[in-house]
Amino acid sequence: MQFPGSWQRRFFRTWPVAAAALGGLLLLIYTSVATTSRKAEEIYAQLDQLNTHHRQVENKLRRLRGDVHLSGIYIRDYLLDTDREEGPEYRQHLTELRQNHAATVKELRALLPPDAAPRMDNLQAELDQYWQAFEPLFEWSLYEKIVRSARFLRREVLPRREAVLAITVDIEQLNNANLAAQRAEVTRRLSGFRDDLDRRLWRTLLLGFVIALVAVLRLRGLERRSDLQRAHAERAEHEMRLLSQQLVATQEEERKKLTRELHDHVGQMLTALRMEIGKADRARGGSDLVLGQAIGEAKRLLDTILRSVRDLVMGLRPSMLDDFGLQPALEWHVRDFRRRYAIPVGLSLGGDLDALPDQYRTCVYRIVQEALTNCARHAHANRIEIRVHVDANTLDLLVSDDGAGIDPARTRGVGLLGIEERVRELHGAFRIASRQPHGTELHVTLPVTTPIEEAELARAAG
Amino acid sequence: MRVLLADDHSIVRRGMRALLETDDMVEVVAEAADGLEALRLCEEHHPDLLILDVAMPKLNGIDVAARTQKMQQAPRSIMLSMHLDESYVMRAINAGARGYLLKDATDEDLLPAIRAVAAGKSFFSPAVSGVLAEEYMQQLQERGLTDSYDLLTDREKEVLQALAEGRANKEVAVLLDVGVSTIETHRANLMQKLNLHSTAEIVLYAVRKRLIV
Repeated sequence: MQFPGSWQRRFFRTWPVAAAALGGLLLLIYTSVATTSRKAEEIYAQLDQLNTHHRQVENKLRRLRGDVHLSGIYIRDYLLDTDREEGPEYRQHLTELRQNHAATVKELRALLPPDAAPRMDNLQAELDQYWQAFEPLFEWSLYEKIVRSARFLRREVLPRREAVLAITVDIEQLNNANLAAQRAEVTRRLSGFRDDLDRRLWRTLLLGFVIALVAVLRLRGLERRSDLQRAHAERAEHEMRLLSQQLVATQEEERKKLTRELHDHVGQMLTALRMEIGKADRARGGSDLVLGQAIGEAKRLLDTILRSVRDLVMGLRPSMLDDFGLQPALEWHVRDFRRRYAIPVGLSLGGDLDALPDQYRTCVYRIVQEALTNCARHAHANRIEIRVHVDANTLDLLVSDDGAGIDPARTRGVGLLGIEERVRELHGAFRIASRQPHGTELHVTLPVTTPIEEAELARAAG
Repeated sequence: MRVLLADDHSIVRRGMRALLETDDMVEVVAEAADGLEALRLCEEHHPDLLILDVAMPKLNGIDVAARTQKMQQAPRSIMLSMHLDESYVMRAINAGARGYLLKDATDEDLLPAIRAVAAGKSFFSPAVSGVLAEEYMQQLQERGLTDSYDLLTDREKEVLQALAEGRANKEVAVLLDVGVSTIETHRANLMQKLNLHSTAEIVLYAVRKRLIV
């Protein structure tokens, strides 16, 4: 049977395409995750850097301011230290602070963007002036310290300090503004990143959806086709079985018919003919020797024909199966077999074989017939045992021999297939196996239903 | 001798009738085409002898013979069959048949059989007894047994022969000029020696041994 699209199956395979699509999807997911995580890392690093930078600038400014205040305190202490005229330790402190300042400013200049350069220049100038303002102090006498210090502090130190502080505040503001601006930039990048993430997500989802859809459709199509094929195969098998059962039944029917035909017509006609010839022989009156010879020859020929017909009839279907039942038929068959092949056959029968329906009798008889034929042909057996046992609901048939056993490689012949078919028709089980140490065993079990049960079953089934 | 012919084939009946009419001793009183008709005609005509085909529609010949055994003045019967097998012969003997003829040999065997039965003996086609004897020998050989016929005393052999020919104990007693109880003792002994269980088996044994033909 040609299925639609079978050419497709031959030339076009789905699985490489599906594998490629799924691989692509996985690759897409992987690259998306890798890219986004890299981008996120970048953004966080940037943000971190931004914060660090800002904090560094703030720290420097704070230190700068602290140093300015500290220097003011040193100056004041020096000026108020009226016990001594000179204060080399103050001068040294201040020098350290000034050096610190220079270093801090240099660092700040490195940290801040170029647009802060004018402010830094300004700061540098103010700081230089601030420090320079202190230079003369250490030349002062004690008197000068007492007289001029208050005025100096008020007039020189404080305004300059304020100026420096004002510039640092200005720079701090610039730093803050800078931070805000850069944060805005980061936020913009972040939202860009989010958009990118969304796009990637949707792209992946869409591709995944398309692949899944195509796969599902394809699978559905395949499953449908496979269901169709299975149903078809089952139907074909069922039909085959019906056909072969029908074949078995028809064969049996034909044999019966043929048997009857041969027995009732051909046989009887020959018998009648035999008597007619006898009449002719008697009428001859013993004088005509040539005629007597011819009649004798005719009788012998007729006897041969009758014997052939009888053998044919019995081979097709032994009359005792229908006339007396299974047991006499089996006994006759075993006797006949012994006579033909000179192989001893043991026959043991148990249970009520006569109560079996015709179908079962025929089945058992044919199985035994086939099994014995097989033994004679292939087994080279020295002894064959047949056991048939019937109880209330099971028929058990065992045929065993001590011959060569079965060759598993040999395919089952038509005879064994016929047995299988008959057994299957009666819902029985059939098993054939080699026996240890040698020989073959054929085992058949048939469930037996009485005609009453069968009728009940039929009624139950409607 | 008044004979009823039963065979479902008129051509065979015609042949047999022609054959029987050559003998003045025999008179064919009725012809039946099936078993039931044979029974009915038997009750109507009370023949001395039934010649019955085994395979007949409605009721087979063996069953007809068995049923007529229960009648008053039961007729003797001779079976005609296509079958050479002991299951048929055994059943025919069990049904009280005195003769079993192979149909092919009717032409030669029928008149001798009728004469034998009329004389109170049994008759079996030589072909039938040949096959039975052959099978019997083969079975004995297979089972490693020997025939115990030689173990019988001469008297027992005579009793066996007479019983197998279809005579009752009383007839045998008269024939051998001894008492019925003696015959019964001989009979029991020979049955035990030969492992036989019924009169039918005695007859079958005799056929196998070709003691009767």
